[in-house]
Amino acid sequence: MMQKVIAGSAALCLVIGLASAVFGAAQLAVAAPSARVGAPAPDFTATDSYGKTRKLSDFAGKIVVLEWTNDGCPFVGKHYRSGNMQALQKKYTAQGVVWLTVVSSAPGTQGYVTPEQANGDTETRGATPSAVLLDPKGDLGHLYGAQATPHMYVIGRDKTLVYMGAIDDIPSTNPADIGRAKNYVVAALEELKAGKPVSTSSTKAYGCSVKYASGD
Amino acid sequence: MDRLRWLWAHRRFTIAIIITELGSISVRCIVERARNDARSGRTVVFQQPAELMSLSLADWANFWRRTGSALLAIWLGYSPLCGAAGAQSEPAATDDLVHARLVAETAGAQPGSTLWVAVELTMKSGWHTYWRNPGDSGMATRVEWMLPPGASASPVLWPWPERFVASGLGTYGYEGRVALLAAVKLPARPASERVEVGAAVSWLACSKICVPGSKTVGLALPVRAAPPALDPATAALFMETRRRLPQPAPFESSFTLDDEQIRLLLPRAAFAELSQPRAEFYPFDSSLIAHGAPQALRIDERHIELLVRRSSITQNQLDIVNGLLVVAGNVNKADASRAYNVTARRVAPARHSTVTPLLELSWIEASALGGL
Repeated sequence: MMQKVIAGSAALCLVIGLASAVFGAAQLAVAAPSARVGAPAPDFTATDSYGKTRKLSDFAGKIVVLEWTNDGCPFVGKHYRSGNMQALQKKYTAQGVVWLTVVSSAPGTQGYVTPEQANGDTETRGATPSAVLLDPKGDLGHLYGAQATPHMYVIGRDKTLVYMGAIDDIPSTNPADIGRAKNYVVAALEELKAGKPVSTSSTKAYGCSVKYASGD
Repeated sequence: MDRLRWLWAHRRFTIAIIITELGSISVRCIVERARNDARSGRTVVFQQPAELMSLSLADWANFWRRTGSALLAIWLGYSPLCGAAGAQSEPAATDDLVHARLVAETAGAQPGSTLWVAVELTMKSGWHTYWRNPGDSGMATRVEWMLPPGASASPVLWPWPERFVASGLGTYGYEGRVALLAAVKLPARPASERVEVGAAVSWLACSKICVPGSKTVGLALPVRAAPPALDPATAALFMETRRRLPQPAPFESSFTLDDEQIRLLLPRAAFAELSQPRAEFYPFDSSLIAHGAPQALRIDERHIELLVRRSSITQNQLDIVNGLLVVAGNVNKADASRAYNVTARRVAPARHSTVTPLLELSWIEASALGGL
């Protein structure tokens, strides 16, 4: 399977290599994600765990948080078993923030959930996101360039992407680090609410890789 | 509903102080184990809570009054107990994935000299641990030294890693076996007849899923007045590992930055004597490049140009780029792969020599042709 993927990639690269040789172009022909801090957040259409269609444009005038998750990932576990993620969801949804938890794990990979499992996880974790978006094909993940779980995005009321990156500044699986870490999402949300520019607008996300379908 | 008031997490267990519904305060030791659930393919982290002590509020006040500062001692006493309870209840799942040990290059230790030690990690087939920059995900292995008084350890020397690419995401790490070297400077006057060195090692092991692990490893060596002989049991490991340590680059390098990519410009000398040369750049800063993107290599008689896609969070104010140039190729049909520590300085695009490609390759093509 892996060899097939490698062979496929090699063939693709050969084509790319030939193409760039022919056109003299030195650009790398891999599509970059379109989410950029300071630019309009890409609109999307996704289905939530209750089968409801959700669009970013549905949340006009609202602050939106995107949280990539994978229930089996120990970095996600750090923030859920400690209650940290649930506390953030509870606090900010109560203030009118739309909190969308996204699962981009492909079927058969860690973290993949059926709608029923997603709702079960929400209940057992005591989580209160506004919705859980199921993205088994990885379209939303690739659109935003989500790399890790947790990978966090904050979108302002005018639908400008104001933060993307890690949840906080201590990359570890140890829940004891949460108390001494600077939470970037909290900082971004508080600055947004105060009408201030977001001081730390992009960081390197840490965690498990998003378990995308292979070959894409 | 029970309310968690305080949490103290160790690597393998957590001590939690909980105010229960009934108003008593419970101290619990929660041992965590990660287990791969065969049915769902998901990692289940299960917790085994064990109550260490549970007292009512009044009893706690009484307990505190009577024992006072002794509480701290009890506390410290309970912590290893908690760890021991965990160790007995089930072997750590991560021990099956990564075996860690600490070894020395010599069979003895001479006071005032440098002792070379290695944290050796042996991964289960299909699993890997991470380099100092893990890449798009993952976590660098951490080593905290426990040294005799007066001794000091150098920063860890990391062999150059492999790059793993899956679904467009790239990470750097090691499969099979890796040894992280460090030079321990020993004090001139030893405190005892034996030199004891310990290391608390923590890692993240990943294949399709990731499981964190940790182990405290140690060694004790007899003190020797003369320079001690190499330990035949570990000599090969140290020799093999040193062969895979990056070297200082014996050449200047520069780069330009545009909206899409970083172009590293290096002299052709970096490839001296190599047939079928290939190269990749592994930055030390995890936010610098799109780690999973193919890197294009262009070569002419005098220059090598490596085109690397920048990440979505690469800063525009970038003057210096640090990382490894990992070069692969053969000399007289023998593998002559190596890595250079590269510090590239930014130059304006106009000053950047144009490489007229004699050869244009992407790394993945090159790998498919029989590379690393």
